Amino acid sequence: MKAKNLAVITMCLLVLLAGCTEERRSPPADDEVTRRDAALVAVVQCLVDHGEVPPAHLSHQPWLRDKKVRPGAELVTWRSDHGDTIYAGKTLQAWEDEATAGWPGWRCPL
Amino acid sequence: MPGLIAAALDDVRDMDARTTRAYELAREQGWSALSRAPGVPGLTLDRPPSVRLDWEATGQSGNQGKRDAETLAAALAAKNPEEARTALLGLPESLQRHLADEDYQAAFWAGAGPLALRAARALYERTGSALFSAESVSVLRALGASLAAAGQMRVGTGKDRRPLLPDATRAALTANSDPWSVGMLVKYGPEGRSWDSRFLADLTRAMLDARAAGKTIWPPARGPLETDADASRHQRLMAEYDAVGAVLQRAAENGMAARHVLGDQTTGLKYARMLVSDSWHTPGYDPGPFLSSYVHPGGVLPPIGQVDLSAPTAAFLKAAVSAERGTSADAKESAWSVVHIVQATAEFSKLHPGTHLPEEIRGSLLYVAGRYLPDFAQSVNHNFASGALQQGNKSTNPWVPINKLDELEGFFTQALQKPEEFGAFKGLMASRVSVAVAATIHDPSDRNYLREMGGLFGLIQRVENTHHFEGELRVDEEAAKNQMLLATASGGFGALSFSNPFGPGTMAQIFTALGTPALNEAFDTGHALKALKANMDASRHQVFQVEVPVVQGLVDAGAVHPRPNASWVSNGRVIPNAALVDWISLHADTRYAGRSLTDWITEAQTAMRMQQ
Repeated sequence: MKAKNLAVITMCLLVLLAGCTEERRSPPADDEVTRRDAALVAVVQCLVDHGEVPPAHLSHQPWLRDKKVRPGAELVTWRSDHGDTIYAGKTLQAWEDEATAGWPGWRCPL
Repeated sequence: MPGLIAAALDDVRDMDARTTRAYELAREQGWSALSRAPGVPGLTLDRPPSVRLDWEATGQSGNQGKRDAETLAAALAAKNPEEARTALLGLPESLQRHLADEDYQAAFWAGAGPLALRAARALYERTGSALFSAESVSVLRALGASLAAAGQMRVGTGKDRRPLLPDATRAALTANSDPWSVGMLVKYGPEGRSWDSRFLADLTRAMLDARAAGKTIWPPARGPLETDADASRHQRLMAEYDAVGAVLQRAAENGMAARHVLGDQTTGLKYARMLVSDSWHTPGYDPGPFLSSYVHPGGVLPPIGQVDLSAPTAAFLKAAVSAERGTSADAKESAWSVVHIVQATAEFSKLHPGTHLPEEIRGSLLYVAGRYLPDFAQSVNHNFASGALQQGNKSTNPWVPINKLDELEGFFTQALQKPEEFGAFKGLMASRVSVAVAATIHDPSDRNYLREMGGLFGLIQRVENTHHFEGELRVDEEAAKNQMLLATASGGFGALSFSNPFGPGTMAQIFTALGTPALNEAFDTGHALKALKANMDASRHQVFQVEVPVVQGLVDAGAVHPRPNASWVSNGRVIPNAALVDWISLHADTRYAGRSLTDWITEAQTAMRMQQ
């Protein structure tokens, strides 16, 4: 199952990183990471609000207080461990990539 | 009552010491407790001969320590190296004999402490080519060994337990009144692992603070520097008797001491900023006074004759990140050291655009990157905040450094400068493909190592694009990449067994283990690659680049089971030969761990930007 996710993610990766292989223009990295940061917080908040993340995945997570997602290094390492985890039909990575692509217009679809 | 017991114990110790000495002297005269009497089979007891005891030398060792301290104080107070040397002739032997003797050490350092720390300044030669005579070196060596031994000793029990060295001595060590002399005791003292790590860390901080405050950290200038040759010789003398470097070197040898300094959450960044710097050289000198007024009409010229001193700094940085990965306090300090080094390097990049750090220090930065590759890859897409934490915020997982993307970008901007450095680093990343494949299959979390590596690769490419290297330089880069890949592929894979159960955090350890041999300067770069190239056409060259690591990863993970007689694998190691090319083309659509071989290879190529 995990390997299948990999294939899906590979495609997203191709789209996302296409800019990096272009040598003529410098990709707007700062802008991209700002949107990606905001998108990740919104996506995780959306999934948590709608009960899509099993409680076991959230126990003792310091970035979640009073059901509110707080950005920080703790969120980055949790996100890494769950990159290929499927929440509400999509991997967390796919959620993050979609929200980043649509930012700042992205809204929680659940 | 306790006083009486202590006195009685002292008496016992004295008597014991004297008895031991008496037997020692008797043995020196050829006596043996058990000897054969002539004509009688078996052993008989032999009466020991009479010996004369030196009651002073075997007296209570504390008294001896006190006396030695007085001798040292008197000798050093004379401020005449000639006299001091004569007065101190017997000191090294006495210090050496009492290295493990707490009573002696306590009495000696209580009596001589602050003065002993300034011994180097009292003993140095005012003329001649060597700064210290052989006798002075032996005094400094003995004092250094004694200081290291005393630094490891503790007295008292329970919550009363404290360092044996008196507060006054510890304060004098860190008070910076004469950092150069303290550095000389460390230089001539024992190897770093013979020191207490906390003690050495305190010393390191004190030296770095003294250097930052502009205190005298260099050996004294002997007489006026009248010629250009004098001035240049003095720079070399400064390098040879570099006190800060001596302490950094010992702390690096110790390892934990370096991690205490840079891994401290409050002060680590401050010291990382001091170390990640282009100031690690002797000050140099103004050549103006040595030029004729015809050539140089006056004014201050830029200093010349600087000697590079970055090697101990570089060793210290490496040691600070070299704890075994895991959940230990040491691993935690190591991870925080990484966070601070990355931050300090990014700051340096920002404050000094266009200035390069010394080669040795940049080498350490690449060592950090190689060792913490999966952690950098994990961090690379976000810019929230930096810090060390346990993977996934679980207390059973290893400590990992997380750095903001901005900081990582500044870090690599400084660490990678030349095309061949980019090449070597990309080769290193490509060589991790097989581990990333195995890790993605086996790690109990849903982490995708291959994709994270792809993100980091993108950052490296962005940094490289800012350099606009010309075509010719790209050839150098490609060569370096292949060399690194070859070195890692031939030296790293197969060294680790993947048959163990994959516990949490195993992957980070495997990455780390594989990174080390590749970043070792000793790897073979030349003829092996040439031989390989001579035998390979373009397509097989490409096979070597990605497909070998992918197949290796699948074999390692147990997803591919080669036939026992397959010639493309030997002892679990995949060999890039014609049989492998055949095998790959025959199995392109076969599914391994849920996806086809072609899919695996394509993803690896994408992550490493290797698609042609």
